Parts: sequence; C-alpha cells; structure tokens
Amino acid sequence: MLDFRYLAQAPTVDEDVCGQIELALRDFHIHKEAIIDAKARRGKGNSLITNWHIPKLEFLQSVVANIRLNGVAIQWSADITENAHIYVAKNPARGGNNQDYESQTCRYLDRGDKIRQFDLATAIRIANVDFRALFDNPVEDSRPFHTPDDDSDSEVDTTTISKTAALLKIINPVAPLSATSRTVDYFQVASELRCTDSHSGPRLFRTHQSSKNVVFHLSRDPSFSRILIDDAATKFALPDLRPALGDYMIWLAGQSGSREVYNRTIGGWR
Amino acid sequence: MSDPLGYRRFCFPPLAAYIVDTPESALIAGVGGKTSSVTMAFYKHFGDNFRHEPRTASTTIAQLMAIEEQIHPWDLSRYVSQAATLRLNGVHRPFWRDYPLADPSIFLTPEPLHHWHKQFWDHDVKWCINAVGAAEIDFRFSVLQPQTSFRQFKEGISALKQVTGREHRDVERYIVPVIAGAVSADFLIAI
Repeated sequence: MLDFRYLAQAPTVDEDVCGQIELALRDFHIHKEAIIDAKARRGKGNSLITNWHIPKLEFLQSVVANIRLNGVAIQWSADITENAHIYVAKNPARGGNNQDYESQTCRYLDRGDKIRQFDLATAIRIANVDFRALFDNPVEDSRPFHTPDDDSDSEVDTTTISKTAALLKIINPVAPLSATSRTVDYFQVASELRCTDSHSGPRLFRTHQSSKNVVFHLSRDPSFSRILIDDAATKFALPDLRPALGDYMIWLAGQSGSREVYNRTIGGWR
Repeated sequence: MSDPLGYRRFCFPPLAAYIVDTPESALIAGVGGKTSSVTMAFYKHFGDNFRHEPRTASTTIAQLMAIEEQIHPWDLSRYVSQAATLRLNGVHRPFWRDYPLADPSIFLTPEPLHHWHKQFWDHDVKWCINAVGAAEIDFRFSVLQPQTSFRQFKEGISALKQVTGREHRDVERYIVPVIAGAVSADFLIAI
C-alpha cells in the first residue's frame, strides 16, 4: 500500500510507473487476507470486521485510469487548497481589527498582490528583460528590441525570454516567487560568504564550514537564554566547557591589551 | 476575460478537476451512501481487486431519465426510494448534466491528501496498532532515532489526536520497519 501511495504521488508518471502502481495495488489485494487473519480489522467497540467495505480502497482502483485521463494525481491534492485557507483567509483576518472581515481581507490580499507585482516588475527591469521584443518582432527579428530614444541605460545588453522558467532563473525578486519555505544549503551559504571579498562585517561568519561535512550556523536567538555553565556542560556533554571558557576570557583579556580580568557581558543585545 | 495582449475573449473553461473529499464527491456524482462516485461499485465491491465499470455521466443521466418516466420528481418519497434502488441520492438535475465534456467519473480526481494519507491513518495504522498491540507499537516508535524535519513520536502513535497531514506522512515513512517482526510476512507486504 505504501509503494502504491509513493508511486502514485510521483511528479511524472509514464506507462512503466502506471504498471508499477497497478502491481503495488495488486500486491495489497493478494496479501490483504493476512490483515483479517491477524484480527486487526476492528470497528467500534473493538468488534471484528471481516469485510473490506472501505470506500477509499475502491477509489484506488481508479487512480491509474484517472492519471491516464487527467495527468498525475499530485496536482489534484487538496493540500494546496487546504493550506490556502490559512494564508488567504485566516492570516488576513487575523491581521485586521476584527471588524469588516470581508473588505479588510480583500484589501490585504489586494495590497499583497500589488507588492508582488511591483517586486516582479522591478526585478524584471533590473535583469534587463525586454518583453516587447517578443510581441513586436516575433519572427523576423529575434534580437532584443529597443527604440533609440529609450532610457539611457537601455544600451546594456537586454535579454529575450520566452518561458516563465527561463525568466525565473535570471530575475532576483526580493520575495521568493515560488515555494514559501525551502531547505537552506548552509554549505553553499558558507562557500559564498568565503568567496565574497568585499565583506566589511565581522570576520568569523555566521555560517562557517569547518570541515568537509560540517557547517556551523549561528542563530540570532540562543536556544537557552539562561543556563548555568555547568548545566550546559552536562546537557551537551562538554566536560571541558568551564576551563575552555576560562581560556577564552584570558585570551580576550590578552587581545584587549589590558592586564585586568575581562569583565563584560557576553551575549545579550548587540 | 482579457488575454495577455488586452483583447477580450469569450472563455469556456472545461470542468477538468473537482477536488473534494469522499462524501462531497458522492454528493456531486449524485450517488447515495456507501457507493462509489466514480465507478458502479458499492460497498460490497469495495474490496474487489479490479476496477468496476466507470460511472459515466451518461450512465447516471440514463438512470435518472428512466426513473423520471415512471415517477414524477415532486412525488418526493416515492422518487427518492426509487432512486435509492439504483444507489442514487435523489438529485434529479445534477449540475454537470449539460456541461460540455464534464463527466464526474473523470473530473472527480484521485486526491492524495484525503484518499491516501487519511485512509492510511484511519485504516492501515489502526490495523497495525491492532496487530502489533498499542503498547508495543508506541514503544517501537519511542525508541526511534530522532531525525531533523521529521516528527519524533516520543509518546507513540496509538493515542494521538488532531493529527495533521504532515504527521500522517511522517508515520508512513516509519511504519513498515516499525511493525516488521511483529506481524506476519503477508501482513507486512500488504502494508
């Protein structure tokens, strides 16, 4: 059954995969008696059930047929619309003053839309993408189109784009256009930081690669805002934390050139 | 609607997909309870290992016409009980009847969230709990190595309430190795 679910969620499905999906479902039906034999199918009050009257089980028989007619099933998942309820209804409603929900929600969405459009338009302009080339000279001249009396910066090379995917690759809007959350590749962040020469900030970066397979990323807010050194040493199994901190403070004192013991707060607001 | 060049066009969108959960799909297809909305199967057939004939729009419409020849829809009680013998819910004018190219057996698409993940939670997981035993399966979940971006089920899964789709999918990732050894080989293959 799990094979079936995973295969049927594939972003692309060809005849081979269709066959595998059907095979996975057939496997379930061949072996399903074991579930009844194990007396695992129970209803209310723990009463035994010996039938398979599950509507959703019957739906599975139509999955392959429907993928052939309508394309992959994952595009019809209700996750998207159920999730949309949060950010097009719940969040806007929460942002208001608990009055006139309809008009405030509409205005919230309207303004969010305008911000995105503006962001997109400015990003496209900065990337020197010229859409007029597509509409004005579609066939005979594929070179970028611009008029002589255009803005002064129009002489830099413009780019002709005919696909959304190609556009998304070259523009760099402030807000991400597609996925709302993405996995951050800290290794890439660290290497980018390392390669930036014109960096004027403090030298040990927030994201720092120490060896081939280890990257440190310091978060702004500590996981524990107040903890005794000994407790931290126990919690993270660092028996030498206390002596190491002592060494660090002596080193700091040496850095500042004074002979006094370093006596300042570490952490807190900067 | 206006097209990208600003011209106004007549648009006739086809009804390609109607994303709904199980009871809603039965309502739209015009069928009664315990009846498939996309095939001719009803509850006695739900465990069959093959696909029944699709319940096409023309099939349902033909059934409705046949009933209407005998009984007027306003003769409500007789009409509904006659419809029930054909496993219909008594709606005599489904909205898709004159929608070109619209067919409930096609536009009621399979739906991963409701059909697969919820079914997994409502049925498959319950079978596993019953077969392995609640205490044992909770113990097996509790000793799993925690992994970033997956929920850790420290308290087990048998007493969970208000379970989200995310958690359904996390349990799906764990369940096979968790129950292995406590159930028969056939049971394991079926899951």
